[in-house]
Amino acid sequence: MHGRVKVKTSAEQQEEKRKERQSKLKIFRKVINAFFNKVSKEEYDNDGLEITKQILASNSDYSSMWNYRKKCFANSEKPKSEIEAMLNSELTFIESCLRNNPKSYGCWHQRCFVLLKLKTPDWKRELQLCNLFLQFDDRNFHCWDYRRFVCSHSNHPLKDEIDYTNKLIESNFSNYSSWHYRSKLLPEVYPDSSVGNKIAERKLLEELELVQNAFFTDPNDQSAWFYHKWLLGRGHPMQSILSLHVSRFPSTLTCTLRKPIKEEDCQQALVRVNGTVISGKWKPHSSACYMNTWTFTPHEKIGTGLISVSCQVDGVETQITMEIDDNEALCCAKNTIETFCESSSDAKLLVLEEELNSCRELNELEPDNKWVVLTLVFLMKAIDPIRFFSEMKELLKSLCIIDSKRSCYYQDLHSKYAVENWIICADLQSRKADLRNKGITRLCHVEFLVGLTHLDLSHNKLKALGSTFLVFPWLQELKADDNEITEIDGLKALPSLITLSLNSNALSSVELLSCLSTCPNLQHVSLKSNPVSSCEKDYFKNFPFRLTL
Amino acid sequence: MGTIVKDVTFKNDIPKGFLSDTHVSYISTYGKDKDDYEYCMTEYLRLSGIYWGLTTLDLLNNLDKLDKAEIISFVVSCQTDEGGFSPSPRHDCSILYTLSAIQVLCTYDQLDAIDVNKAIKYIASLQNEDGSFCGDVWGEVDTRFSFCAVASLALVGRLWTDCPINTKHCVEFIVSCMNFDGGFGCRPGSETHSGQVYCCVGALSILHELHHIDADLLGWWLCERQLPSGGLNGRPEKLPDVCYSWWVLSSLAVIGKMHWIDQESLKSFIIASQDPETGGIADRPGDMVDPFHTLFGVAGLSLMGQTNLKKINPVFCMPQYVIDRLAINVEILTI
Repeated sequence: MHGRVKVKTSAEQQEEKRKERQSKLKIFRKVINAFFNKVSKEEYDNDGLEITKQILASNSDYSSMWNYRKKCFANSEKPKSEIEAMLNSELTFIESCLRNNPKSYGCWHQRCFVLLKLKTPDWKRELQLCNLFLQFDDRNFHCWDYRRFVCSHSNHPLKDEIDYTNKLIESNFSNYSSWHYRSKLLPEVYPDSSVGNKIAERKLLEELELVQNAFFTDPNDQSAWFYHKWLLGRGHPMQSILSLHVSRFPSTLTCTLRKPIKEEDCQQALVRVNGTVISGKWKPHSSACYMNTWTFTPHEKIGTGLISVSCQVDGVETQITMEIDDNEALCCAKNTIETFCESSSDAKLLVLEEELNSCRELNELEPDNKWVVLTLVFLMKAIDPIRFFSEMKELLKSLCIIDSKRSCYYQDLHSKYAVENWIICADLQSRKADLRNKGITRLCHVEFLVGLTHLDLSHNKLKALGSTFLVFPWLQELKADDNEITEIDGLKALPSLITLSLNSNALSSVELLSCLSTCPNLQHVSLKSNPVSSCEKDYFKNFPFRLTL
Repeated sequence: MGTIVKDVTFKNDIPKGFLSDTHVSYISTYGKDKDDYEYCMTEYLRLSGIYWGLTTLDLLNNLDKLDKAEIISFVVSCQTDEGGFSPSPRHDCSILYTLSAIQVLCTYDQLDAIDVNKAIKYIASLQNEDGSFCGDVWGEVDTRFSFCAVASLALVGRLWTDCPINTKHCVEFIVSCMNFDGGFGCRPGSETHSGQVYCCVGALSILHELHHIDADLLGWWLCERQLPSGGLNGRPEKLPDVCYSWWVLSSLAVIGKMHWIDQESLKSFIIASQDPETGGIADRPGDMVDPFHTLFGVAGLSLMGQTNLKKINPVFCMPQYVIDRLAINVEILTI
């Protein structure tokens, strides 16, 4: 029951309503019984069509009745012209039902059914019906879906549909449904030949201008801002191999991909030593279906020389090659700004810089408009996330105040950008990561960090070390002092972990530490200045590592 | 021209706390009077109504208020020759009520009462070549039905062993319904809608395929559903509603972003949507209550850690102990 306001009524009014309902119910039951009588006798006739009309006209969710009517049309042995006439009158009936309940799933589906049954459907009339119902309510998603159904069956030119959304947007920019439709139409009508962009650049730049007009006209309408974020590119990463670790004694190869893959895809990956394919078996790093990190155990020992892994996932070929002359080595793919955002042409960059300036002006006029501030951040991220980083950080900080309900989103967004910038500049092959004092609330993109032996996350705002941390096969030392950590359930079975420092956090009970017993090489854990530090020493005596409290 | 935020404001006489007992009495007496007008008019969705009421009472630790034997025999009477379930005897079956039937029986641990294999065959018969599912024999396709199929099969233990559907195509179809905002619609090309997001995220979670989702992008869209009143809407520029609050909140929980909204103000919105006179929860403060919104209000409070309520599973919208008993592991993202 949606949007039915409760009205206070007197006892008298209630009694009157009760009586009215009782008599309504009597009629309702009579009709329903007549209907089920028809069904049980399998009588699909005009009489039944009339009976079902009585209920559906006011209660269009009664799906068994729509089904009965469908059966009437499907099973009828009447001449074709007569059936065609019946179907056409059904369209008139459906339209009257839709006027009562324009959001009825049953009505709209009945209409699709009838249109597909008609010998000569009048698709033009259907499009006009859509125009009419979208005039009543331009957000009616049932009608939008029906419109797409009509267009696809009538081969209606998609360009005309773009024009239609133009018209709607011109009359009211606040029309999320129209912007959504454009996101589907533009890539179809103006496809881009190069990879990455979804729309031909010329069109993309025009679109950026259109949406800018929209949010300048009405800066509080979120539709245009969401659409703008999509135009900026959503950093849909391409599959690639991020790192390869080779160990000779025992011979294993560990390969980490940007996007997780399934075992069947991984088994297709080829390992070559000095150009010769070697056989062996890939194993996932844990029991999940999809994994980023896979370990290869060759049937024979790996010697020195050039080692490469290549694999093909979803039609994308990716490869990594390294030289090994030692017992162990790690090779990481080179990262650039483009690792985390789509590359922009000079023309696009120019447009984005202009937009940035316009948004700065808008921000001066409306300093409390969160959409403007967030879009400034998104624009800076698209233009140069490193050059603008300190400004982005300040803007995100101000968003936490302007839009406090979503402050955790802004903090997490800042954390993501901070880690991305660190990855772009870091020497990952050194296997040591210093991520202290970054103000981060979460650790993203761990797939880039798999090869680490040392990780320092001290002086941040992390609240938990969750399952993200399960990925580190070589991590020997983990420091996360001075955070807000209350849970560490991700620190499970870390095979190489020797030293763990979690001083000045919010760990409150001994039970929280039980997962640490599953780390086979853990020797020292420091837990100074945690609520748990004040527990009786006896509680800790069963841990197989040295504790500093 | 300027957009005015559509939202509600609270009146002064709103209830202050969670009115557990009044909800128990509202649900346990609902449908006792078989001649009640509202009750009779909703016969076409009865089986789902039973699922809403039963789950609410279980969360409220009062499952025994219902007549278990009567409910089970009603569910049994709804299974049709096709194998699927109708909302009430004599009606046509659909995948929607098939899921409701299975949910009710799983909560009662009484799956044996029905012909499970026949129900499974029915569900499998509704899958199309492209992986999508129809709601019934008449061919309407919707991602809601994909969720119904996947959830039903998981509950009867046939998703991972001897699975009768093509899960690969099922996932591909769901992913083809993904949009520019990271959300999902009814069919490829359809606009994002929180109810549909719940279904698609839920199905992918059950299938352990959540990596298809751009959690940051979708999470942003979802947390922007929260309005100044604390309530959440189902799409941009719409009014807040208790049921949408559940679809959004549970989706956020699955992708590990529940902290991106202000939970305290959402709790207040749900509390304000209670009716202290009749019990039950409405779509928004001041409106008429119904069992549907009562469940999603209570479920939302459970997910946000309300005391004295059983824990809810965000994917199945069933008590967590039932999901644990069935040893179902859904995928939940952590960052």
